[in-house]
Amino acid sequence: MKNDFSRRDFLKISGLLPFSFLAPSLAESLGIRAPQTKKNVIIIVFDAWSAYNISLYGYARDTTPTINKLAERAVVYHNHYATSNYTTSGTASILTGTLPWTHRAMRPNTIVSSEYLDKSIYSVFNDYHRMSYSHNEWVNTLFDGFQSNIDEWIPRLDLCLFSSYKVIQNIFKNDRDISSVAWQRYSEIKKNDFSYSLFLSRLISYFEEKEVQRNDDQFPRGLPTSNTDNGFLLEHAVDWLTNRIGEIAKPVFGYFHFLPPHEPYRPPVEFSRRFFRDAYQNILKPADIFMEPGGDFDIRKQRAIYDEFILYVDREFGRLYRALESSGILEDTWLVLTSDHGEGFERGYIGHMVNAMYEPLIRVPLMIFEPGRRSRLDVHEKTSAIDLLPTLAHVTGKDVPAWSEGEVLPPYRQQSEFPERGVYSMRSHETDKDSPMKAASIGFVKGRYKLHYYFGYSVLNSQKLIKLYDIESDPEELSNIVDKEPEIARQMADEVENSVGQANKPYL
Amino acid sequence: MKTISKYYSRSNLWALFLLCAFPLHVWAMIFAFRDISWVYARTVVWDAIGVLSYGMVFALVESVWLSVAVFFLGFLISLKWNSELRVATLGAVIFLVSLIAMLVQFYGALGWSISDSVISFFVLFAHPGRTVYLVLLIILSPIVAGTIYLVLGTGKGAQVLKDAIEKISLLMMVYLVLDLVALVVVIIRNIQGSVK
Repeated sequence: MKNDFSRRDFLKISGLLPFSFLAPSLAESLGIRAPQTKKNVIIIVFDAWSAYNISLYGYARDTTPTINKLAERAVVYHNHYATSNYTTSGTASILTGTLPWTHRAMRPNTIVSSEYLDKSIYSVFNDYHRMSYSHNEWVNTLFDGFQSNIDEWIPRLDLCLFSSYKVIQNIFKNDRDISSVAWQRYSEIKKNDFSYSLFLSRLISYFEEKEVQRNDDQFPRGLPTSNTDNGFLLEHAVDWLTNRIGEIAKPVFGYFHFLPPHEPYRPPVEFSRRFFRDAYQNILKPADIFMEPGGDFDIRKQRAIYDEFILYVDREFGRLYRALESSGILEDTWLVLTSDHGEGFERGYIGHMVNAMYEPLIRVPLMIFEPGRRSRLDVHEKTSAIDLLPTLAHVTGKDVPAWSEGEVLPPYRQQSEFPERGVYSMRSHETDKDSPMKAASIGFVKGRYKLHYYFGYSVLNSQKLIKLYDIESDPEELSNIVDKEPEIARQMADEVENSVGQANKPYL
Repeated sequence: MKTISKYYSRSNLWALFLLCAFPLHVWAMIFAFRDISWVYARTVVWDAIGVLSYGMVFALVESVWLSVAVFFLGFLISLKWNSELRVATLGAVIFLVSLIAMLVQFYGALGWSISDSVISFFVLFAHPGRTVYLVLLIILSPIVAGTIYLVLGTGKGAQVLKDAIEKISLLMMVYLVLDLVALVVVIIRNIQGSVK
């Protein structure tokens, strides 16, 4: 075979080498972008966002008009389950791809077990610029555990309004946690507790209240707040995020966990009272054994305010999406929208701090905006929060880690290959890392059935309580069919007991 | 400087600082020590010591801030008074105001409440908040005035206050040593953090 490439040709081309080093920066300055080989991955989590209350999933109120439109370019998962009904366990599962009884972050505001500190979504994307932010202190506690694998952990208060904590955290940069705890105890005047300070606490609360008042007219129910801050605006977080992602080196892996629509429900004036006295009718459900019966009116009112708060989430996600799209980042990005757990307004409870496993508490949204996708795809398989990590690893060309307990989701895996499996959700918030679960609530969804399995609670006299629902024909879980379908109930209960036994084994 | 020396001697300024620091430190220490157990239960003993140390350092900073405020308040007291009497009077005011601040915290923390009839009385006014402050001023003014009269009017009262100040100053020196230790702990924690 004749070689046409002479020594002279080689020397000619070599002369272009210095230019090749300059080319990328020159192209960037001229606004010419080369196609990115590694796609960014951005996970947006809105806290306590139940699929039950989302119009995209069939809710009677139009709570997500913007997301409904954006979903036309996404993969929409209709039966996606959080692994828990509260933040610590649910978020840790998203980040580790494992169930709570595996990652062991079951007590509120704890980190995962030491075994999983280096087995997380951050370690999977170790060749990316890994960023994280959350308004929620409990999520920041989890970040704290993973911090050696996070390149940019944005302090929680950076995206909050004026707070004396910012000053303290800037002074004591190397000891933020303990200095903040001490400052909280020193400066915060709380009901039913004392602050260490006699005078400074009053002065600080005066200035902080002034700051809040400045934005008061935009939020008739007060500013959205979390833990110790004096308020935040979702707009600030969205603006900051789009600017920051635009300016840093790619590829980026970002996990951003925003507090709304978590309580306190504080919709902006634009959406306030939108759903008051509308035609929506609550479906009346009997009070559950774990709940004190509540006033129906209050539940209806709180649900309306929560739904209005979702409109705020919808609008701001829309702004984020458009900003990423107009900057061109979106076409190189896997954008994921989901939640860590749900929220419920029924059976005598409001919120999610209950030992129950009903659908509004654990079924959450999941949408994947794939680079270049122009059409909607609906997936109805039962999926779990633990599936997100293996799916994102798979679609970005990484090996799915063996320690992850999830599955690669359809359509990224053939639907026919998707295993017939049960999906677990659980709450065992008094279980320590090295102790067996003595009391727990477990939701187990398999096929068309859902088993509620409760054990160890004093209200049950330490007996187990089993309920079975056909969630395809009875999605509101109104009719317990454990007596009608005893064989199915027994098989599913056996499966749950076996799994709990396996999970408890190392700690007995 | 000349103006300042007319009002305060150097030892007066030191005594004033100690008087401001005393109630703040006692209060902060009671609650910081109370918190040690729950911080330790959640983290490690070094973090619990950290919370206590930061509490002490913050109390020191607040003491300086309060001393500056009280220092300027002293200029309102006539030059006819000698400087010791001025410091004794300011000391009495500090204790009184501190006592009120403590009672206010007890009110919030222990769930003390004003009866509904009193609340409904204040609601009758166009500006209930302002009215509450006005009533408090009316109640507190004679108390403050009475204390000052006690200091001014009776030599015995002034002597009692001066003796108390001396004893508190001595006790406060112990607290300041603790502040110093706390400051060292805070510095070590921040150096350790940057190394980590």
